[in-house]
Amino acid sequence: MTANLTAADAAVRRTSLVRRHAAIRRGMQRDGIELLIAYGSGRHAFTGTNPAWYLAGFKQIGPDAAVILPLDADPVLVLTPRWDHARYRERATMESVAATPEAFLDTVAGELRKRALIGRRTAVAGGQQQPREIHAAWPALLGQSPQDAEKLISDTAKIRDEWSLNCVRRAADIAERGYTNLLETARPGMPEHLIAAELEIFMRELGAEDNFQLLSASQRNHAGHFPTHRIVAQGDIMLAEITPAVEGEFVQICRTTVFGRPSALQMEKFALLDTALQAGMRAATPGTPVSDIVAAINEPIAAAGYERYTKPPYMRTRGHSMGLGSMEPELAPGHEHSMETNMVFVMHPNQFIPETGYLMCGEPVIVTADGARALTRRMGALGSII
Amino acid sequence: MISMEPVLKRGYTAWDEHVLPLDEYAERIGTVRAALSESGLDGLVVINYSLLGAMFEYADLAWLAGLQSGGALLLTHESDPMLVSFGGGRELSFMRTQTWIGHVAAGRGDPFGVLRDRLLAAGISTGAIGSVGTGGMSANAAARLADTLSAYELRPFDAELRALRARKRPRELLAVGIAKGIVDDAVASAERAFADGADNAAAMLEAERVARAGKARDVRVLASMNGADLRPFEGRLAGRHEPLLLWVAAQYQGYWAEAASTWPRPGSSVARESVEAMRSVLRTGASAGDVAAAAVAMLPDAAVDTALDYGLGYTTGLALNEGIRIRPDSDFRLPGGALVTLRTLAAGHGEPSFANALFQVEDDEAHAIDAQRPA
Repeated sequence: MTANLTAADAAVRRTSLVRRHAAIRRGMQRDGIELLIAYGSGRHAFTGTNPAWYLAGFKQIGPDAAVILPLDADPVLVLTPRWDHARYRERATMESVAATPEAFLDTVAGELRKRALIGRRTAVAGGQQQPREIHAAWPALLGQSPQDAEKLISDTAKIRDEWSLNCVRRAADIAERGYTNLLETARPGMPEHLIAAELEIFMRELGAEDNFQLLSASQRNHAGHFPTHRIVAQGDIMLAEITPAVEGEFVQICRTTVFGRPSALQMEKFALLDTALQAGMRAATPGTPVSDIVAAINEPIAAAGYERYTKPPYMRTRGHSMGLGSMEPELAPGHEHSMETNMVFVMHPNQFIPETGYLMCGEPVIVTADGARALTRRMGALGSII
Repeated sequence: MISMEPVLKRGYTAWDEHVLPLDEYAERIGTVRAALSESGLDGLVVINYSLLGAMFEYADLAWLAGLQSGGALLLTHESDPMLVSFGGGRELSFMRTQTWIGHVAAGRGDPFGVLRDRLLAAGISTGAIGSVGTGGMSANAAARLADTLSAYELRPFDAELRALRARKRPRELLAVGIAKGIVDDAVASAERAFADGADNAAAMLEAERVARAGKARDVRVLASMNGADLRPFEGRLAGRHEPLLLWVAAQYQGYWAEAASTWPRPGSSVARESVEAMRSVLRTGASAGDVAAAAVAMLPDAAVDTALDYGLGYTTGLALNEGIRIRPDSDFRLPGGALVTLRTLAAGHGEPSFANALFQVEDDEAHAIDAQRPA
C-alpha cells in the first residue's frame, strides 16, 4: 500500500473503478460492442488521454498498457514492464499480467485467446498518444477492424466520479499550499529554475507525483514559459501555471505575482481578468455550450478595449480539461460540446494585455447547477512578494 | 531504464552557448548537407511531432536545431534553415531563445504548407527530399505531410542521420559530462540524506531537488521502497528500508546521463563486478550481445532474470536510450565514438546491489566519461 492510498482511499477507488466499468459496459451494450480494449501509452501527457489508466486506476511506468474489458466477463490488465508488476499488485482491482514492452502485443493476444475473446465485436480506445505501430497492429491481432471507443471512454471520464474528485481535491490543496510556499520562499536574486525546483519539491513532499508547471518572470511577459537561468529582479511579474497530479489527476492554478508592490495599473488589469473569470464561472452551467462561456469571458475584456487581444497569439484557450481520461472540455472557439454537471477543468483567461504584458488568472473548477465553482479554498489574487 | 514519463519536461530551459556554440551547429549542418548531396537529396525535413515541453523523441531535431521541443526543420543546400512551430505563434518568442536558427515561423494550423512554401521560395518545386521523424507522427499528421509535399519524393533519412550523430562530438561529451555531474551530485546528496536517517522517499526527493537545482531539464528517479524492485515517486511512503537502491537520470541541453547506487555500499558488489565485466569487452564493433553475455556470466543464476528485466544498458546521448540495447539476443555492433551506459541491478541472491557506469566506445577500449559542472 502506498502513502497515497489509505484504506478509505482504496475502498473509494475500488468502488469507482467498478462503476466506471459498469458505465462503459452500458455504452458497449448500446453500441453493440462485446469487447473493449482500453490502451494507454506511458506518455501520460494530459494533452492526450490514457484510457488504460482510466479503467485500471493505475499509471503504468512502461510504454504500453491495456485493460481488456469483455462485456460479460472479468477484466484483465496487461502492463509493462514486468518489474512494475508488484506495484500494481499492491493496489490491484483486477487480474493482471505483466510483460516486457517487446512482448506487449503478443501478451494481449495471448490473453484474448485464453479467454476465447478473439472474434467478439471489438472496440479499441487508443488514447491520443497511441503510437502508430500499436494502432496499426490491432486489426491483425483482433482479426477485424475494431470500432473506435475513444468517445465512449472520454464521455464517461469527463464526468468525475468519487475517486477522481478525491484525487482532484487533494491536488487542489497541494497546488494552493505550493503557491503559498512560493510566496514565502521566492526572492529577487534567485534564478527562475531554482524557484521552480523548490516549488516542485515542496509539492512532491505533499504527495504530488507529477506536475505540469510553467514558471517564469520578467518586467514584461509575452507569455509564460519554462524556467530559465534568468535572475528574478525587483518589479518582475512572475507567471506560474502550477499543476500537481495525484494518482494521474491534474489540477491547475494560474497565478501572477509581482516582486514588489503591484502598481495600480497591474491591479486594474488583473482585476479585469478576474472579472472575466468570474463571468465565465457564472456562465458555466450544465447545458451551456463552451462557445457561450468563451463569449462570457471575452465580453468584459473586449468591453475594456482589448477585443483584438482575446485571440491568438495573445492567448491560447480560456480553459481545458486536465485529466488523462478526457480532452473535454476545451474552452476555445471551434469546440462544440457543452457543460455537464461534475465536469472538472481549469478556467483561465490568461492573456497578454498591452500595458502590463501577459497575466495569468485561473482556477480549477467543477460544474454545478449554479455554474462553475472553484475547487480552491481561495481564488487567486494578484500576489506580491515584498 | 524505463522510468515514469513526466507530463512536461519542465526544468532548466536555456540554451547554454558555452557548451553548444553556433559553430558546433554549423559543423553539424555542413555534415548533413554533404550526406544529402551524396544521397541525391535536395533538402531535408526533420519533424518532432510532440508539443512544446512534452519532448518525445527530440534527438534528431535537437542535434540540428538545438530545440528539444516539437517543430519541423527544413534544411536545403543553399538557404538558411527554417524552423516551423506546430502552434499559433504565442510560443515563438520563447522558442527563439532555444535555437540558433534565426528563421522561426508559426505553423498556424498548416505547418507543412509553410515548409512547402519555403521549398518553392528556394526554387525547389520537385525532386527528392529526405524526411526524419515521420514515424513518430500520428497517421493523420503523416498523411497531411505526404499530401502537402506530394510534389516531392519523400525519402526516409532517419537511419542516415542517426549514423551521422552516433559518434559523439567533443562538445556533446561535455554536455553529457555535465549531465553526469548533475546525477552524481544528486545521488551523493541522496545517499548523505539516507545515511543521516532520511527514509527512502525522502532520499528520492533529495536526489530530484539537487538535480533540478543543478540545471537538469528532465529528471527521473527510481528507488527501492521495501524490497529490491524500483519504484517511481508516488507520494510519501513512511519508513526506511535498507539497502537503498537508487537510480537517477537527468538531461542537460538534451543530453542524458544516469547513475545507480546501493546504500550502504556493499563490501563486494555483484552489480559492480557485472558492470566491470561488460566494460572489459566494450570496444568499437563489439556486439551488444557479447557485452551482455559478459555481464550475465558474472551473475548468479537467480539474479539473471531481474538484471535482464531492468536492462543492462544502452547507447545514450540525446535520448536516454539511443537505440542499441545491451541484451543477450542483440546482434547490433557498437559504433565507434558512441556513448554506452552499462548497468546491473542484481537481486534474488542475497543482498541486492545496483551499479552503473558511462563510457565512450573506442577501438582499443572504453573510456569513462568524467563528471563536469556547468559554468
